[in-house]
Amino acid sequence: MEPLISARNIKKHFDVGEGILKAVDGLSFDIYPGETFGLVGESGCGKSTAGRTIIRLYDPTDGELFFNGKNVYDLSRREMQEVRKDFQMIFQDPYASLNPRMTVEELVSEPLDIHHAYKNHKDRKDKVIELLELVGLNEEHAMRFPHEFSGGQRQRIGIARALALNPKFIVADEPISALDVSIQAQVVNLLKDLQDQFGLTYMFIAHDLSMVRYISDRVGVMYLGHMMELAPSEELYENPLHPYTKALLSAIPIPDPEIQRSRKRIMLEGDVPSPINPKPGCRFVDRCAQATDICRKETPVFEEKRPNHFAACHNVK
Amino acid sequence: MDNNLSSIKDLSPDLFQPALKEDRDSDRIRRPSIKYWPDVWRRLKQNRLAMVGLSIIIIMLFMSIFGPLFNKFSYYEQNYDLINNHPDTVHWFGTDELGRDLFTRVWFGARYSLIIGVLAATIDFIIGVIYGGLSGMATRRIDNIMMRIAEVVYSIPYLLIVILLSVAFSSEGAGTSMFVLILAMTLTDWVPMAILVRGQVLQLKESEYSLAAESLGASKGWILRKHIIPNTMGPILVNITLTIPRAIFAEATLGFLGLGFQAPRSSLGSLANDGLAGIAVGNAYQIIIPALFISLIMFAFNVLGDGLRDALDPRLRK
Repeated sequence: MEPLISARNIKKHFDVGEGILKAVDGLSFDIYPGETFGLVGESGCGKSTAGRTIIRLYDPTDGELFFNGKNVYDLSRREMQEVRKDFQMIFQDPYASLNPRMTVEELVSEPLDIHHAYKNHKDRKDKVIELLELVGLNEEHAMRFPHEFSGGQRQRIGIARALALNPKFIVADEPISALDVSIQAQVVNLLKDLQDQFGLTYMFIAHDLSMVRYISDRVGVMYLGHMMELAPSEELYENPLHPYTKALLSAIPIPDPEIQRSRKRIMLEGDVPSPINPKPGCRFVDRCAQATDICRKETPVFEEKRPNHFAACHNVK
Repeated sequence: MDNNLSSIKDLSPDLFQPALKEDRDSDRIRRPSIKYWPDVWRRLKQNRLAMVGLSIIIIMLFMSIFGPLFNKFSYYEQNYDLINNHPDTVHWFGTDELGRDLFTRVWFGARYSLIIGVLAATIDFIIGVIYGGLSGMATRRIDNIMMRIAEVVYSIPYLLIVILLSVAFSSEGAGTSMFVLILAMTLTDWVPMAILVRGQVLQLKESEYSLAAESLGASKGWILRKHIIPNTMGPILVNITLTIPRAIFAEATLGFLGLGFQAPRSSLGSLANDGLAGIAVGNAYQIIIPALFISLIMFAFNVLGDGLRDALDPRLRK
């Protein structure tokens, strides 16, 4: 199958004065139409920056991103405007991502306004109501302000806004991590339903490994701007190759006290090193139990170790 | 209802259907919708001092327009038979050393003072928002240059500018024109507004809703117009209500120094200046009355500004 999106060696560096912060440092992966691509990693590993760079909210330092056979990073402002309709984003914080001075109708219709995607006032209103109903809200919510809604409802408003232009690809940047646990499932199921209904492709960024397993077809594991491992969901959770993935998975609690008590957790020593001016070699080397000399000298290549199972580790053959 | 309860045997199974999902209405909001500005107004109303200030401003505005019509005297008409007449039933605020009615002259003065205050604040607002908005949205380098320019402008003492301008622009005997006064005042006074707006823009352009708009394909201008400026209106409004008394006070200072309007036109400051001579000969009302009005206007705008600041602060929301 042709990938919908092909990322090749994407980099995003920030000049922070005391050095170069390499938030994303060479990501390559494909996302296929209709699938959900999960991206996990701990806080500060560059997940969100990766998501924002992919939809070109940040201008990349380097790399190529192919969509419909074109390199999105080469597009002019006007051409980019067209691609924007296909790329959408759902933000992490449903409180911060909705302008408090706008009504729900204004919020949801903003993408329509920007792209002049309606014929007249009534057409616009109809579209807004249609979108609200799609996410389980209704007409009476249209004239309300964001502060009148709960977190879950706000996130659904954000989803309605992202759907307004019939996008093909949506980056969901930790869409549930700011929500109450009881609401998380509601939002995730809504995302799944919408995916089935419209054939959407998601990039789902999260740090909740069990939730990612539930929603994703394939999962990528990031650490300090590098992709460490990438595999189909079941494969990654059953047969992790990279020591970092193994450590992460061992941290998922199992809802059975017997097993939970007896199993061995892989504890990570030390802190996440600074992403400013990183040393050469494997990014994970300081915290890896299996690190050898070569890990310190050479950055391991991210390659296909098993069929459809990629990893970047010298010790995995 | 009672009927149903009393005849239990009439109950049929179809009365016990599970509730439909749609009927549960869990997303229904029962509280009436409260829009932002009505909510601000509601909180402002609870602040008694601010409401006093607002009332004074409204009365001042009304009287500065219609006050001179309340008696038969004009602001320039001189009556040498009634020089330095103390306040009485005919001349409510007395007359000055040329026999002109002070009541009329005070409201005339208040009219010019308010016009200057409002005009200066409006011009500050326009320049400040545009300059600050552009500076905040520009690249870091351009922002830096623009802010250094603003600081240089702000470091020029405005009194110097006013004196220079009034000397340069005023024709013989015409005094300083309104245009020159406002020009001199706004030449440096837009800077605090620009700095305020720039700070807000820098903060809000990184907000997630600005990023969300950008991801939807919005231009910088759109984000500034639709997202940043509306969310900056609160602090801007507070700044305006504090700029107006500053401008009025500045104009009063100039008038008192003799750099204000040329007689027979007057401002509150020039009236106070005229009345200064009266203190020595027992006509203190000639300075007390205009000074009182300056203080009242200053007080009213300042308490209203403070009240607005409190009302706009969402952390104080009840």
